Amino acid sequence: MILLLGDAGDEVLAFLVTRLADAGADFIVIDPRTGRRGVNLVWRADADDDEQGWLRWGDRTIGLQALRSVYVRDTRHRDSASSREEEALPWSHLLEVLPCPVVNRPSAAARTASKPYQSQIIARHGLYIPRTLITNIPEQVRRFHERCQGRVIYKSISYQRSIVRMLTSADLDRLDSVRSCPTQFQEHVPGIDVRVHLVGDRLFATEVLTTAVDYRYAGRDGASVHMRDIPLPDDVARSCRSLGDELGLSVAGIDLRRSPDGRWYCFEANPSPAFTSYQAFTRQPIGEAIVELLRR
Amino acid sequence: MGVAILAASDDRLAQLVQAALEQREVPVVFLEASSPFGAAGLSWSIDSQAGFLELESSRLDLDRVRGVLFREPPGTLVDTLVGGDDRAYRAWEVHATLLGLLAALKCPVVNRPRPAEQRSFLLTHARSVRSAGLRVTPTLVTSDPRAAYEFFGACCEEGALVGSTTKWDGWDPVGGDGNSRAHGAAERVEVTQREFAQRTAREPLVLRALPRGERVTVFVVDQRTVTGARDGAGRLRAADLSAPLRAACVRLAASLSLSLALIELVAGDREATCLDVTSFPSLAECDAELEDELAMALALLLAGAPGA
Repeated sequence: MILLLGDAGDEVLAFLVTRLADAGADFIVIDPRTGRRGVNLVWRADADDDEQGWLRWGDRTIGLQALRSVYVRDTRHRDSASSREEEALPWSHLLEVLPCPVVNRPSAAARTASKPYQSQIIARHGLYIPRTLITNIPEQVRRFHERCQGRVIYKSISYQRSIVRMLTSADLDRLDSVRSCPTQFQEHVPGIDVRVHLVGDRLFATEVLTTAVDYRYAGRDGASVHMRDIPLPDDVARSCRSLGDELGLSVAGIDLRRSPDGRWYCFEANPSPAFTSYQAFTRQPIGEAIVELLRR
Repeated sequence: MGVAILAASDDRLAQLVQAALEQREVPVVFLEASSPFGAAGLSWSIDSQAGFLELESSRLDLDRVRGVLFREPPGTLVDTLVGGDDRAYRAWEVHATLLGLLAALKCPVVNRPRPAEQRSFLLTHARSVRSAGLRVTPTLVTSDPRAAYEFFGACCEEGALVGSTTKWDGWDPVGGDGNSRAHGAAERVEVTQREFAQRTAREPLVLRALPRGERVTVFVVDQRTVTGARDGAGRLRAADLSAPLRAACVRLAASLSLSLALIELVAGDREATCLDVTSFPSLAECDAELEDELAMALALLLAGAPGA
């Protein structure tokens, strides 16, 4: 039995459901925030060996030991403020200790929730991180802006409202607003964006061609986006795999940029990537690889 | 070189540690943990790992911080999320900043926050508890009131504590001698079943069996332990604990990378059962002697060598 946790209406989850059904896999979808209405969880947390317990829904019962794998579709980026955390929390405890593969365990996903925390890990894996300043002191921003020859972006420190913007002269005039909350400023790195989807040992690299500062929101800025499948240099591929290992992520969307001088920068890893749009552009079998991983 | 304390202004442990440090003439910067950057400017370069805190009349370079006492209850963000959007956003940003910043500091940080930290380690680290040489009390997490009642009947002869994974500090006794005297057997069954049904209607519950034995509270500060037991008035007073059990508690805290931990034990004749492990001990029930002992142990850890 494969357990999918998340909103069944979510595009990524719907994609996986379709592929799992096509493959004749035995699976169930539970939304942990509303699941109590249909699913009973019973978990003995003191078991001597592996976790004991079961899930019961309708007339079906499955032991926790019988779970082949779990896929967690974390939609926190869209909906964290309205989450029914009291429903989700028992799951977050259980997902840490289930003996089967969990894609991804909450503690692993949470390692990416703080960009500066994650950056320190990234820097250990042979990938460059941009010059970065976190501050709530306006004067420090101005100095950083000068040091970077005026090429500075800013973005959130957590995953909330994570949209990348260029720091403009208009922004410099309203820097007093940073006093209320630390903000992350980074030297703008010119180059080509590459999104790498890590699925187990497999890597799918997509080059993203756009004029937008943040290609995810290119439409909002009136910019176009074109994507294509590319091969990764061996050393970069090794870095992506080892980064995934240290973060504890068996599936991840890793955001890289190849600078004109050939350096590979890494901005962050997303523990629950919305891979479907990349797959639609490039025909890379990312979803199929995830299904294979879950069925292994 | 000074020590930074990030805590609520009314945090008793933080207040006592500050006093103990100042008595030893160690400079202390005290910042409100929930909004530390309201009173202090921060400039931190991640790639060069350099930076400083700018205070009203002074500046503290991050590489000259001697130690940090960080006192924010795990899971605080879950509560924050319920609030308004901007308030929640700022809370997330501050939390993410602290997570990165405190991970980067080379000095002792008590306790260094970690991603997705839970209010209790018992559910997620039962193996660590056993590896340290302690038993794990029978514990059930369920949304099924029938399963809760079956577990209660099978494992909770001495009574149980019931709570939730979200409010780990709000434990209520169920069953046990007190209930037996207050109710007849049939009435006791009905009351217990009704309580489980009401609780699981709201959210999944956690049920912990209370084993037979003496209940003690062990505070671990690095390699030291401070043990308390409740007196008749419910106050924690200094108590003895055998050397093997003290060593087991130190092993457990170390395996969880906690330099400050609270471990609830029920000590039997030959072994001890762990009821709970948390990283955020409160002094609310401690007497003055225990408070002072704990504060001094923490001050020594944060200040470095004795006499510093």
